[in-house]
Amino acid sequence: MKTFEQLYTAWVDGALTTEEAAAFEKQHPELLKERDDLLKLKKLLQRNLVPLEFAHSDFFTSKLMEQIVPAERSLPSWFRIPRLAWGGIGSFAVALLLFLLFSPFHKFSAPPEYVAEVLKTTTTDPKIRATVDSEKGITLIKLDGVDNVPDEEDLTVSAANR
Amino acid sequence: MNFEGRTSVLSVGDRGFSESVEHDDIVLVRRCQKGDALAFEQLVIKYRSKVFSMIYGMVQNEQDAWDLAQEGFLKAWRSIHRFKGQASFYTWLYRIVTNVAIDSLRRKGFKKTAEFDDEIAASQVEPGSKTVPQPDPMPHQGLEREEIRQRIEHAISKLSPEHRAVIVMKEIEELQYNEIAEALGCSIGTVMSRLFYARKKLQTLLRDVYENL
Repeated sequence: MKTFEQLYTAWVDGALTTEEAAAFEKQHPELLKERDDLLKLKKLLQRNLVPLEFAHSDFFTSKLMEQIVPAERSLPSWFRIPRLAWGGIGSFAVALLLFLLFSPFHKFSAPPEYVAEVLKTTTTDPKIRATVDSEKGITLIKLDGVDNVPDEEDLTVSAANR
Repeated sequence: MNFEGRTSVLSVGDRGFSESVEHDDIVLVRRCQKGDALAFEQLVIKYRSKVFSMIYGMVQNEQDAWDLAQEGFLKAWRSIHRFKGQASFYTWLYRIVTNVAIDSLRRKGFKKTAEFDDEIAASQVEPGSKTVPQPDPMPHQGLEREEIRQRIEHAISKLSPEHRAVIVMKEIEELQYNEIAEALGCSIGTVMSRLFYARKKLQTLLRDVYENL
């Protein structure tokens, strides 16, 4: 059974049948003036509360869709492959690169390049003893055990040309 | 009298949504449920003005209405998979955005004034009784339209979120009782009771305005 408020609301809104409305008005004749007031109120609201014009509606949609589909919207369709697939491809590419760089087979595939090259090796003569003295700004190197220079040796020729 | 209203063809005010419109919406929703954001964009374009208008009617602030409309549509997108087609998409969307607006009003700490509480039992309200206190007489000859609008908006701001919702949906959006009930997730009887008390409140606050028109 409908309450008084529900019947009253339906009556004001014209939602009652003719018979129902007549019965309600007969029961509550004092409400006719109030209904007129309410109808004026309805007219006031409908006339003055027109829906606000929605300015910049396209911008609204654009901002909304940026939140729904953030980065993918700016990419071409072929790039919109699921991220999981791209992650797998990327991981495989990194693993392959690491394998090629650090695999054991890679070491023997090309001849090694050395920065430095040993040209000549010598061993020290155990008979020769070298000492160094620094005194009064003069550095004196003494070599003991060096063989005497032969008398027939021509000292005027440089060592490079011998 | 059947309070249930029509069920096969939904109407918005005097403008009827044909069944083909509902069908178009369902097709777009099905595409949305498969992840098609472009389909959702079409729904946004279709309903953005109505949504914005409804929310603005409740919160009375353009910037807030903008933000809440964004929030409402986002929520609709995230829960689109839950739409079963038992109601029209518009009604389903309306429910989401209405809740967003009501929640916002509650978060902002709506202060209840001495308005009519629809929890009050019907027996406590005598038909025809002086439930509308007479306001102090105020001169309102020749009010400008903008002043009238401000008075109305101020009066609506005095309503609770639930009462604002029924007034906006009924008087501005011109929805039927059953559509309002679906949007608010309550019974038709509750909608009608809320309308009763909301209108009583507005009568008190705006009597001097509508009597001088």
